[in-house]
Amino acid sequence: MGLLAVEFLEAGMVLARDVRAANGMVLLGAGAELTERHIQIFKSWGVNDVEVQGTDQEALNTQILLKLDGAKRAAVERDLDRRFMHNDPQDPVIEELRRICLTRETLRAAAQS
Amino acid sequence: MFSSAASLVRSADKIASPPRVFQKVNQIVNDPNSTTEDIARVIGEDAGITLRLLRVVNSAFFGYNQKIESLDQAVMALGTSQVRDLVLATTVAEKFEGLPEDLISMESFWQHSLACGVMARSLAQAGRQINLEPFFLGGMLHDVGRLVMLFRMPEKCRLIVTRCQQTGEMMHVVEREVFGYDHAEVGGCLLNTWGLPPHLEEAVASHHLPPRAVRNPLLTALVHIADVMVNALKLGNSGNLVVPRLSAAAWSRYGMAATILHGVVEQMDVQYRAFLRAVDMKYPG
Repeated sequence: MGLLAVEFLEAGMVLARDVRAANGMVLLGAGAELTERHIQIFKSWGVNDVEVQGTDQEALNTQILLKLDGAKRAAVERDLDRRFMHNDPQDPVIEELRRICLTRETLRAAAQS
Repeated sequence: MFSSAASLVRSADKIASPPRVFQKVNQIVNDPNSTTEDIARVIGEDAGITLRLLRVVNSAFFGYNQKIESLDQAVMALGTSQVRDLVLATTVAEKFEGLPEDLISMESFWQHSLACGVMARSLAQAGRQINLEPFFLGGMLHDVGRLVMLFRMPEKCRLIVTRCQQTGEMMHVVEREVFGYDHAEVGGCLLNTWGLPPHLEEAVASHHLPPRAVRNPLLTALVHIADVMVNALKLGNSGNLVVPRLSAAAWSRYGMAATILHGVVEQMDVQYRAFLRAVDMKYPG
């Protein structure tokens, strides 16, 4: 099971959990197989992310990070370098926090492209 | 220029008292002869606060199974002190309305503050703390001192913001160099003036120097860690463009493994979105 931004959904994926609009209304129930039409509806209702079956989060993230071109990724890394300049990169807490930021921001950059 | 954080806070009449409804609720909570109905009645006089409060209480931030329909029910479910804290968290922004926004946008400032509150609470929850409210309120209020500075010394603050943008220095360090005190200290003084409990005052005053805390070191440590995290995640902004340096002492006070962060951030994100929706604020970015 993995959480996936709407931009990366593909027809044929299976929902692991109900998808709800911001007002709480269920748009599509767990177990449903996605069609292109569903994905359009999610976008028009402002759904940000969806839980799908069969893929684990790490694999999904890696897949997306690989798709993103080198220049964008480098830009995110540079931004992180500057933001974390006062922190010790060897500190395991900072390392973990930076990794979380890198994933979130690369996914966001990928979604915008 | 003001020679100390205390004299700066004393100079600002407009913010010398806490938000009005909070003040009334606080009096009732501290009065042994009062009842829960008294609290509901005082809050109920303000329709805006009532609506906001009920929306927060019914959101995924608290995650109650049953719908809470009235203030009476809310006081029963949350308890008097938690309701009082929530009143302060949802009204504090009104106290600072009308500040010039060219330096720091108020929307962004409160997005940062709320994010820090929810993050500190989420860290406390992951650390198996029972009483989560002080963590939320401490995070929510940690940077209010910066607004006092902005309100009373806008020109000096402008110079500091510009300098930090250029050099990447941490703002509290530059504040100390320029004024001899920083926004954390000012925030502590303000909370003292407002009559808030000493452990909360301490958490705000020491959030950039957590080892200094003696009353409630864990509270101070988690507000500090939460501030570092939400600056890293760019959830709103209170002026800093860099992540403040994480205090290793604060993290060892917390005593958890670094791997806990992933789950903490995920849980925080859900609760944060729910709270923002309940008070009609946008998710940052």
